[in-house]
Amino acid sequence: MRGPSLLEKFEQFALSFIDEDGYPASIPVIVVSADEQIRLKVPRGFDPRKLEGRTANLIANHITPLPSGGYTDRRYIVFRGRVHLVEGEELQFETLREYGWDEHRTPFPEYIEVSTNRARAYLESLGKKLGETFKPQLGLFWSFFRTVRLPFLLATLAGVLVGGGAAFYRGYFNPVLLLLTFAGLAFIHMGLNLANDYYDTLLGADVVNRRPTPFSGGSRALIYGIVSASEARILFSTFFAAGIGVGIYLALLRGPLEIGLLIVGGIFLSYFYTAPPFKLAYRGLGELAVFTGFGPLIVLGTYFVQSGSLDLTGLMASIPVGILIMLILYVNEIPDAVFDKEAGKKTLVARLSKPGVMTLLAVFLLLVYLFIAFIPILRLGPPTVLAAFTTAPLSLRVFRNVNRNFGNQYAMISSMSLNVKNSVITCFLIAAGYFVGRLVYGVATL
Amino acid sequence: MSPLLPPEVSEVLENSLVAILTVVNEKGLPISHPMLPLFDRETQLLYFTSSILFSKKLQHIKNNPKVSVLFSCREYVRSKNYHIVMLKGDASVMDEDLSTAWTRLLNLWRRKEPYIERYLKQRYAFPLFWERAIIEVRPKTIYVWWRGDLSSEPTIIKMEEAD
Repeated sequence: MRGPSLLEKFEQFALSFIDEDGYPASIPVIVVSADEQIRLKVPRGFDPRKLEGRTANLIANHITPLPSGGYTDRRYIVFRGRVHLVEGEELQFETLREYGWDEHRTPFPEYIEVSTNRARAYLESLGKKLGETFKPQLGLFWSFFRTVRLPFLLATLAGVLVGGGAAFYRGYFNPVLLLLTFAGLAFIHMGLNLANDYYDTLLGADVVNRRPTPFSGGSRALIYGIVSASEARILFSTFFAAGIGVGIYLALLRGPLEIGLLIVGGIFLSYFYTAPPFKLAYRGLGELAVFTGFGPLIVLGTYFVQSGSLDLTGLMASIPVGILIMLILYVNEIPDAVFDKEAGKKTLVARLSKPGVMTLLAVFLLLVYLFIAFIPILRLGPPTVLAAFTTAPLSLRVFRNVNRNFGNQYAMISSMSLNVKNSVITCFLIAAGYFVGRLVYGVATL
Repeated sequence: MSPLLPPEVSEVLENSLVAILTVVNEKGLPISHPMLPLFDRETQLLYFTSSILFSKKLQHIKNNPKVSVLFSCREYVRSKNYHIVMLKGDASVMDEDLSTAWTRLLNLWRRKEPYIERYLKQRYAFPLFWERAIIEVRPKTIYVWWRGDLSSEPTIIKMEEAD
């Protein structure tokens, strides 16, 4: 950077060099001009003639102090080069290299993200020196929270409640089995999240993502070193095994063939969502996998555990849930798309242009309400499920918000948050519709 | 405890929002970093905390402890009196406990960035940022340009002599 903008954008200028006593000195300087050459005046106490030909760096720094304390608008540039004495007592700075940071150009979270490797290397070298293994310390709960992406279990809970609600509407309800179903599915969901992180890190999709958000870019647990690759493998295998264990128990209790098939399907989709050789998410099949897994498999599975039958009531309840949970993934893929493309992860969003993504989002949102409407129309559920229509304005807000923030990774955080809220609330309202419907209209028979 | 700094200098160090820390790299060249300075009046030592994300300076200090710190720019010093201060000193890096040792400086940090607690509560969001080493600077020579007047000779204070 040269010219008047250097003087306009920065207030603090310091020239640093190694002084005669061997210590570095940083002296305040006055930048006389910054047009083609940077010219400086040094303060009294330092003889400019003694600086002739010295290697030095010139730092230009800016912050905007806040009235409430602290500051914002951080930016700085470091010019590295040599100083030459010119007429009078002025110095000319010959720039050989420059670098810096401006938080408006590289937001702080991205600045942090691109420095991750340096932090990991520091931890590793410190570990070697002290003979210990160093990891970022978050405490057990927050490490677990971050590693398994705990809040995302709401998606599983939503499906279980809708499946349980549909069964309740048909006159079946066993709360112990419902809890057990949720526990088994939660284990599989945590296994899915960890396996997804493990393979996305291994295959590079999470590594190249410089702008992760709380909703996208994976948990980063492996990238930040919260868990090692081998720990992640052990953890996802354990979660899958625990999920299968609960599934086998339920299968023995309620129907080995049906539940066995649902477990095999669920584990297949969960593991091969990102794992080779299928890498479903990398082939544009991730959305279909999530729709199938969180819709028919979870909702119908829960419905079957409760009612002992696989029928249209359960299937119909599962479709809007599948679309809504798939929409969480779909919108979360938007900020990741640029990095997913870089890593060869061809998600549906990465394959489409903005108009394509937005058109499909509108279609999916409309389909959600269409399928909800079909539930009472086809007499596969009570009219009270139509309470879910109250989220239609929220869906409209999601669409507008995504449309506005598309292309801005950090602004998309509010869109993704709104979309998660919309999906989860709509699912909960469908579930509530079944429970209330049974209480209002009595047990439904096929 | 280190020798006492003149109260006017302590006032600047205590109230500066930013300081330029200059370290010496492996090639013997100066490298400057704008940092949040934390001055402890009790120990008369100056502290910085550095995330391991930005750890090059830590390695540089370990290799060569000689540093300088500049406090300048009126807008950045939130005290009634303003002087430009440059100090040269010896730094040490404390990184045996990156997770919690730096929190002993939280009171000093909070005074300058009152919102820091809010970010700290979301430690899980930026786990590596909160793994921080402490840089402790023991001032040896201090240059003071009174009232920020660069056209006047600075007062030079040798801390060892003052001890």
